[in-house]
Amino acid sequence: MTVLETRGDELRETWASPPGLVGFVSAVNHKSIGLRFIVTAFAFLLIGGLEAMLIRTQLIRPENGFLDAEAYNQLFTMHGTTMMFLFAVPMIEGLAMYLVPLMIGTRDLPFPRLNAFGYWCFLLGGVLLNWSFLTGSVPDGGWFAYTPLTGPEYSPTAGIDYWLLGVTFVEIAGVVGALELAVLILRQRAPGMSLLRMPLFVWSILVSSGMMLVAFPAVITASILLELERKLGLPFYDPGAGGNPLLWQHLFWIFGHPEVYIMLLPATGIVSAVVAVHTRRPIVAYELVAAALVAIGIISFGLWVHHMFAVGIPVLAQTLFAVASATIAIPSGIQVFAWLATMLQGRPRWSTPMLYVVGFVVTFVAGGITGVMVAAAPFDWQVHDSFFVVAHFHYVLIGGVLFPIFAGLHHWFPKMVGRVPNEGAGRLSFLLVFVGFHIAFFPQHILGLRGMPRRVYTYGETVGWDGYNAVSTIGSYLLGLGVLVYAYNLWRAWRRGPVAPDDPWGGDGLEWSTASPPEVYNFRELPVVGGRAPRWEPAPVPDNRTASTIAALAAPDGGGRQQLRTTMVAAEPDDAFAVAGPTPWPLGTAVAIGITLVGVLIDHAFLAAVGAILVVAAALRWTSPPGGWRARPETWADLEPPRSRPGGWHGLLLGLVAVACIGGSFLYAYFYLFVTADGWPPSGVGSPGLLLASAAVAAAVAGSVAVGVAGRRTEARTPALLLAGVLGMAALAADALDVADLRFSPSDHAYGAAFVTLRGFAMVVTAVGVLVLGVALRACLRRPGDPWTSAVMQITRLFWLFVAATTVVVWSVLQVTPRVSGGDGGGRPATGSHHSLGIGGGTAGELPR
Amino acid sequence: MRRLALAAATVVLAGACAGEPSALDPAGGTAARLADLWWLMLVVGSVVWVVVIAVLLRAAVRGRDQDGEPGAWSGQPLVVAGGIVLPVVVLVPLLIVVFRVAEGLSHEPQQDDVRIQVVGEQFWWRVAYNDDAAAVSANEVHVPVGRPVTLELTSVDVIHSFWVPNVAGKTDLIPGETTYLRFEVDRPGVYRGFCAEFCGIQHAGMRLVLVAQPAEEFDDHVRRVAEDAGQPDSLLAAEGQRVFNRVGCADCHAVRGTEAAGVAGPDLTHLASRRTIGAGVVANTRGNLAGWVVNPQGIKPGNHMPPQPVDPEDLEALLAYLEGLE
Repeated sequence: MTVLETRGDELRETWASPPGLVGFVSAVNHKSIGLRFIVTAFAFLLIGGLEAMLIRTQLIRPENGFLDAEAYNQLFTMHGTTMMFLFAVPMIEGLAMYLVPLMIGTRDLPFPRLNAFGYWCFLLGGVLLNWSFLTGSVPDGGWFAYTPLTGPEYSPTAGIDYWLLGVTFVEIAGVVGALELAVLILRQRAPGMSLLRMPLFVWSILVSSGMMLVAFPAVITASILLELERKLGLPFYDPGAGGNPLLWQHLFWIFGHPEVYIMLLPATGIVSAVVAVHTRRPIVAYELVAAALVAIGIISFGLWVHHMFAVGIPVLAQTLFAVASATIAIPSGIQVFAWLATMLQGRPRWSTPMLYVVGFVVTFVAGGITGVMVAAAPFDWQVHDSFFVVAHFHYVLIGGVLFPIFAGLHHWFPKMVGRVPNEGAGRLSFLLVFVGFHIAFFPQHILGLRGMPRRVYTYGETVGWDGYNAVSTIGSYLLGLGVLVYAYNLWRAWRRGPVAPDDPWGGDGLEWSTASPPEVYNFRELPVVGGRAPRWEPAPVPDNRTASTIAALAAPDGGGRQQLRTTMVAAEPDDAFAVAGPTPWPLGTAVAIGITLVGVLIDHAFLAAVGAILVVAAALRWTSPPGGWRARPETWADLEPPRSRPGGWHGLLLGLVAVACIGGSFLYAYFYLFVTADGWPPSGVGSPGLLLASAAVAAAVAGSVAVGVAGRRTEARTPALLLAGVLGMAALAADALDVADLRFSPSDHAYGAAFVTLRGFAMVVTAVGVLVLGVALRACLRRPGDPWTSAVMQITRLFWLFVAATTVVVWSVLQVTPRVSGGDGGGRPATGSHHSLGIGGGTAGELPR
Repeated sequence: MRRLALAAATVVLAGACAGEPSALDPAGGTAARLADLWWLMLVVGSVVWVVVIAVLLRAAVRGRDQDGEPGAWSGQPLVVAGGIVLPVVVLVPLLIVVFRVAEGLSHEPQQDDVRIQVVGEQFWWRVAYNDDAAAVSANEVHVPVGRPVTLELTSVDVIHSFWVPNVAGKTDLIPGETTYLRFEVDRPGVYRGFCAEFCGIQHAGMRLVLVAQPAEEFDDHVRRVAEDAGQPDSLLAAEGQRVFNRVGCADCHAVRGTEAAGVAGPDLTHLASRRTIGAGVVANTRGNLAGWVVNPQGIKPGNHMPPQPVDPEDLEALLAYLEGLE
């Protein structure tokens, strides 16, 4: 037995999941979880596709009786929701979770348990959403769920609750996955893989993860507010009580527009990977493409209003958003021409992945051009919410996201499964998908121009839409058939395809240097990288420090699942750390969250409370020191001590970015309503009390200072943490007393609703802070000298800085705004709401705002 | 440009008989400018698409007929030319045009505009002219040709959107706010309109008719709309009026000049002169009217009007009455 084989066995033992059902529910390996994401998302693709076929069948002819209005509205709602939330994003996350560790040369993700937790949230959220079909209360408010249609008055059944809770559950998976992938990419790249040597796919995942952390909180917040309105009558979106239905649209599209690029950017990353390998050339203008990815990520947050051109926003503002929207053509163009230039340089091999890439370019460029058209505000007044827009975004989302996903799945299938899919079947699927797609969606442009609105379950016989609709429906059947051929090809290859070599395509990236499928530990010896295409270049000779680190990591020596952490920019070896092994607690936590949400859904307060307690219990169990964990093994004694923060600190930092965005969205809602409501606070409601609120903030800030002392002075650690805990609980008590004694009801006016929600947010953050103190205290008492404890202390300090900042910001906003607006009847003067004649509309001399 | 565009539109729309909605068959200056913008963008966009596809085809062909390694061509200039220069050269002039079109089509109402109030309700349109509480109608908006019109839009329930493709773009009707849609129609005619924002189960059945007519006819129409209903002109119709008030029609519908003053549903004072019933869903014929009264849920499932169990003689009288409400 050679040394390498011995190491292989040892690594395998260390990284393997236990067998059987227990092993299944407690697996945390990135490849297991990644594959689960991919398979589950593919199943949802088939469900969403079936829904699309039913929709198209209903529209095949005018006055069709195949579906009634209710069923049609449910199906288009679930189709959009499924494709966006349950297929595209999870599929991309699954691919990234599986592939990125292989591409950057590491063994696993930085927080494998969090990763498993994300999968269970996704699965349970998806099941919850689709469970609605069994109960009959299917969401029917559209995937955009506009208020007030989705509010308690116009949607009294549980369908919208399924949607809000299910989608939020799934978004949790998105946020934790994004956080995980960002830390992975920034801190675990192989030695030598500096930022500018990362594969473009990894760049795209990094940017899109950052976007998810900022974008998803907006829709999570919007959903929380709507659920509060539906369940507790807090009138955020009710114009009769100071609310504003457009608040939903702003929050939704602040999320919704970046969401498109969150799906699109990784898809372009797949295209870059496929083009490079199948033309056997590195992508031309790498730096420009990487910069384009970052630029798209940033610009996409400035475009949301172009979904709202018809709501009566001033024309100048509309035009500015139109210009901003058009600028995204530049980074998109850079990417397209970089692929074309690469193809011109090399010799494309017309494999199935490459065919899907060509289909992508043809389709996506057309979708981009119609995108510029709909971004031109005046033209959008015509085609907005018409079938033109349906055609446009299916060009972008099927051409721009599904085609690349199909290219990528076929491309990496031999690596992931160890079997080669059939090329003939792959090409046949492309032919059907591509031709079917264009037959289905090209006519919809014309339908939109000819006046067919979206989301109509039927249309008249004399309106001139029947021919285009019939053609479109036939095309959609072809497309559906193509997807089935594609799926069958992969299924068949999985069962009995020819065994794949390690590198079937002659690839450039590190993933192709592993076995097919990869060993559970990925690499026996971690690779060292000297360029952008490690497999096409001679391997660099590592320096001594790197070489000894790699040698140490190749022999786990009972030290658990050790990984190498490298520096953020240059990827120099920095530290080793061990990650947790298999555990069922992520599943337990996800189930507890599910119990809470079901409790809310069925108005069962007791069940919801039990669920919430279980969430806390599971989280505490989860955060106890992982079993078998050992900090730097003895063999590392000669290595330098780490130079930077622990990975958990960075993970928490990114998590707090997401939480801060939730808080920021609450603030946005508060200020939006402050500006648009007549009177803030409404007349009769004075300024909020100062004393208790200020005492609570002071206690929280003092608690934060105490945590700071605990972090700096080891000998005073325990008492300082205890003091901080007491201060935190005092802050909570003062808050609770204050809120219990309000002079207004949160359900009477949006002011009270927004006030209570912001206070509630600060209280939840403080309460979690107290729990974090408990975790820190436990660590200090049980393992005082352990580096794990010092990592926990760093994390606790960071969290308490956040607690202090949150409470201070919330306090300032809530105390200052009512006073500057003059208390009674402040805010915006009443305009535009003269219902002088009982039929609405303004008086003759009145001009719009 | 405009002439070319219209000619092209005619080709594309060949076979589109009168009354079919289309943004590319503009009935006036407002829609024409939007259609022109479309044709311009279509031409420019097609050229860009063809350029990209030409490069793609070149790459595909080159790959086949070249055997050896390609030369030292870096490819970077192509990326800069196609990715940066091309979009800038195309987009800057295009955005200037967009700016100008937007400026010219500002929705700000002017003093001399004809003002029409439209209120969206699930799943129909309440219409009033000149802020006159008497000049109230439903689901049919009349406008004069050759004069700028401002619609003052709001909603009493959920968000709707007013869209008559041949006439102008769409504007949302938002509860608690007033929005405006300003346009001018040049060609008299009857144009179809739709609710374009998903508003619930019968979103598809929330349609309308826009009638553009010469100014005098329009003024006549508004005057007539403001008038009270005439007396029933037959015994049967008079009996029908009693049925109307007895079976509950009057709880929801108003017939001005009578005791019927319900406000939940459309004003029926001049029902018989309207072209459609059910908010544009079916033609206003005797058969459809009878079907609608007895079972509106059969024609437009999910709308808010309950079925009226009226026995045949009463129905006969009711129809006579309703058909007399001109």
